[in-house]
Amino acid sequence: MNNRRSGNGRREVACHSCAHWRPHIFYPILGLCSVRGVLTFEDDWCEHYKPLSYGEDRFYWCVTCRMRLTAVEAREHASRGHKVYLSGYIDPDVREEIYDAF
Amino acid sequence: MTDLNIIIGGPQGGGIESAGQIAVKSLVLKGYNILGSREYHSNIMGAHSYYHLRAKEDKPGSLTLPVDALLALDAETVLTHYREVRPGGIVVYDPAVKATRVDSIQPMAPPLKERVKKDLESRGLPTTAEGALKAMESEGVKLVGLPLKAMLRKVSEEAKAPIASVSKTVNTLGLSAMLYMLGVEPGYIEKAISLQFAGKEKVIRMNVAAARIAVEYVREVYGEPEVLPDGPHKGKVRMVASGNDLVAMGKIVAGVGFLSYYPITPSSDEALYLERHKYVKLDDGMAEKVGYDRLSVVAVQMEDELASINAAIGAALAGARSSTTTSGPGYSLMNEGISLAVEAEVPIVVTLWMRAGPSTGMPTRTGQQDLLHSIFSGHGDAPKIVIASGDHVEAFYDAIKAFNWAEIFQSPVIHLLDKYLASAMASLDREELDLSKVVIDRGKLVDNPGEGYLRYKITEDGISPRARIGDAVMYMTGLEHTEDGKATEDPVAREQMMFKRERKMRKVLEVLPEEDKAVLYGDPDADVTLVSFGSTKGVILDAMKMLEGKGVKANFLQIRLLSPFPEDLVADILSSAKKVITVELNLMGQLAFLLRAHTGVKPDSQVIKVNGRPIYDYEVVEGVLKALDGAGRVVVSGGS
Ligand SMILES: [Zn+2]
Repeated sequence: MNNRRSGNGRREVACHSCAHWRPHIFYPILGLCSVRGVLTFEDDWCEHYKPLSYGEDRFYWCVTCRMRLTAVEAREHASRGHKVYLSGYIDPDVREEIYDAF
Repeated sequence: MTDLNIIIGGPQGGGIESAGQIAVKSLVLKGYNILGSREYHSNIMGAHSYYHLRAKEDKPGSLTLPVDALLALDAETVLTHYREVRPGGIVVYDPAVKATRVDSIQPMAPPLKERVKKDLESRGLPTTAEGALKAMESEGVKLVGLPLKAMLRKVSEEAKAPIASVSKTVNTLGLSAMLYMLGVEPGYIEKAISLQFAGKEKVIRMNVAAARIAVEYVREVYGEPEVLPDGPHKGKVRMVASGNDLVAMGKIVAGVGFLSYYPITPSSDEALYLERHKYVKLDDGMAEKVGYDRLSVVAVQMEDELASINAAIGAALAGARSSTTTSGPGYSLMNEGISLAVEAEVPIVVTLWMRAGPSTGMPTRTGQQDLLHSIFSGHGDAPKIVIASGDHVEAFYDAIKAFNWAEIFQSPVIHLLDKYLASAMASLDREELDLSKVVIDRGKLVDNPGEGYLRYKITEDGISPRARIGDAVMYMTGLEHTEDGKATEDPVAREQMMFKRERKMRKVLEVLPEEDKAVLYGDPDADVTLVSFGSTKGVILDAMKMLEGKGVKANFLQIRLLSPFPEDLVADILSSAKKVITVELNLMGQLAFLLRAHTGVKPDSQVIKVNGRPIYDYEVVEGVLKALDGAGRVVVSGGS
């Protein structure tokens, strides 16, 4: 089933639509597979695939807005076509790239 | 003559800083002088940030637009900067961003979105990154597309590394492609990567692999570019430092013993530099002379700015060379302490890095809005010394002089700088920071005050012998006092102390050399005199050359000492000026106000910039030409 592709040629069943995937907050072509603990590309796939859903009452991460959302907001953003995940992936070295700003 | 201008943009935290640093290092290794500035958002992660860089054979005094090359690490960068690349320049981008609509980029500022949409619509282009790319292409900008995902896969395969490691090379891929297209040989890029990540072998290996893949790709698709000639400093060991770094270095050289601070942009990096260098190793000769081999700086983060200034006052009373560092909002809180330091004649150095206010304003953007604030800070007549540095080298020496003046005149010294200088990186030769030029003068500091010591002894120049607390019985208070420091409200004693403090400031004007008060650059007989202070110096000097090309002979009066104001010197210089135009980054025309108040000279025109971005060379030129056309006030507004 992982070979089904959408109109733009992208696999529909792939990391980018998996509940276990945590997209890189800046470069969401990459993300963390929370099951295997490795970074993958958005169009990779593995046997742990589980489709994303926004039913659970928890925080979510909107890639489009680069912000954390509640479940109600998550459903709303997703319905507007935003890419919403259970969480985002922050590179542990990100502090080296960030200036003090307050 | 090489004059290379670059913008590297992307999400803050997405490798923009590293990419900027690698670009700086590549071009310095190549032998060029560089000036590079970071522009970033105060909302920390993810918001658009960029590195703006200029490389020249001689020292760039300014940044400029349009640039020769734009590296866009995301769609927002394409849409933010597409009007800032010159015809014939290049833009390096990931074709995957093309379809991104302006409206779908949530972090992008709504007013900017509106401006971009309006512009693209007016050109009949789609309001997407592709529309912006087409706009650039139609103006003769070369589009260099880099398929980042495919390239990252290749890096992962070739370096046999997990994606986690190669994920950090997105910026290197783009940067290497851009530098190569600009004619920088891959050897320099790889050397710069090794320097940037020194000690992290795996990171170096991965980034070098990425650089090679990017270079190979663009060579295959776009052909071999013409090689950029080497600059005049190739092979020399040089340094690259920010204004924050140089002030911290100056403080160390001055022998700062204590620095208190509360974190605030753009001053924190100075404090953090001092924390990292809290032990300074002495050379062997010095170690033998003093009997120990290292010195220490106590750099302390306090609970707020009130504590910071008062801790600095305490350390100064104990005899340390003492300092605090902050920006406008923090300085507001320090006002009471400044007044205390004036009243009690405490030698402290307050480094004030101006940023765009009022209030929290735009914390990470630049401005020169605290000039009057610094001079008039502290309640009651509170005369003090205010010195403004014009560039990196001045910032270093002024940091040292500030401690001397604080101790000689027993007064707070406000060292005025701004965010642009704080974060701008400049290439320097070691000799530019000449330690043989450094003099340490602790003024009338006495080791053995003896019996009957009077801390506030009335003297001709207003300056009394100063003992450290603990070395003599003395009183220190914010109340008016007699010569022994005891509180008094006696009208005669009060007057004596008021005029004593005034005499010290007269002495400042008497003793300081002209080069520390005001400096005239260029032909004294010029058609127009530009008057400014602080970090506009390099920009104005660059603009003067451009103006000459347009037939306008300008000179430049840089006011360095803002308080006490060198009114005789400035009035004398301006008496022969044919036309006076002030250039400053504030709304009120604060320098123009001071000129008028102190010399009676009303500038013929004012060029101001208040959008939080640094002023560019071409803006000074534009401003002066408009002013010469009769405009009373010219507002310049460049930058993204
Ligand atoms: Zn969203």
